[in-house]
Amino acid sequence: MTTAEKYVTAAYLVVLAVVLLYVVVYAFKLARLEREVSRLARLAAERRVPDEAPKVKPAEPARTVN
Amino acid sequence: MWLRNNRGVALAATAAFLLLTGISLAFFWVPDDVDQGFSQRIFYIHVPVALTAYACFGWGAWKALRLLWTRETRYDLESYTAVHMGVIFGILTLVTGSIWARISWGVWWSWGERQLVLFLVLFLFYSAYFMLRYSTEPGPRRERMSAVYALFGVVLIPVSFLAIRLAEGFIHPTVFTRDGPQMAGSMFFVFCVCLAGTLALAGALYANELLGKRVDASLRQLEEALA
Repeated sequence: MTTAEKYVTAAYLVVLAVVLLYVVVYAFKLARLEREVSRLARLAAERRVPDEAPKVKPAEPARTVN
Repeated sequence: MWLRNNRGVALAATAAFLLLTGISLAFFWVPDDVDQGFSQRIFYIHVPVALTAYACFGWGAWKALRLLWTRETRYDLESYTAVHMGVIFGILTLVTGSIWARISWGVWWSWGERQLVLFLVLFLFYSAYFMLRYSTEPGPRRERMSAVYALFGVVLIPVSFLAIRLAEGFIHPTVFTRDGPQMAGSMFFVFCVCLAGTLALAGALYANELLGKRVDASLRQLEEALA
């Protein structure tokens, strides 16, 4: 392999490496987003449980007939 | 409909196809350059990447203008993402250009070259965009400041692009002149394939990054609503 061939290959590999690095960084970001979604879903589920408790229809106040 | 909902996937697939084709053609099909020989093949990645960086900065400035014009918040995120992509392609331009300079001129960098220095100024200008953005609190003020900054930077693009044509006694080659591209038809074809590939790659990265940032912003809003 000549010097020119080495340099040309290096230039193309740099581009490939940067794109791959970007993919890795993006994978970490997606993992973080997934964790946050799970946390918020859990929080929403916890909120829903106390809300569901008084689902029994409250008794209507007695009507007075005049 | 599918294409509209999966723009990032479609662009990524197009970019992969065009770049693989372009790089294969650049290595195994195009003839060696008369002056530079095999090393001229860096041209097929360096110039498309540089033009893509200009396109990203230009796109960021356009979105910034739309923000200032319409006051719609979504343009802030779009402008920011475009500048982000421009900086990534700017790094690639500087690195591939430096490697090419080492083979052709025997040096990694030449401060005497206006084209190189102006591109570095443009790159540093847009790198400082992030410092400005994160030094102020989120809100309309930050959006407007970032937009004005992104818009100012776009002035440097034609200056950087024309510097090589206005300069006297340069060593950086001029390939595209008023008489058209100064290269063989096969070389120009491969260059166009690589340029389309890098533009599609930038589009794919932009679409995915924007999607990620929008999801991030929506999650933050949801968190505030649940708090």
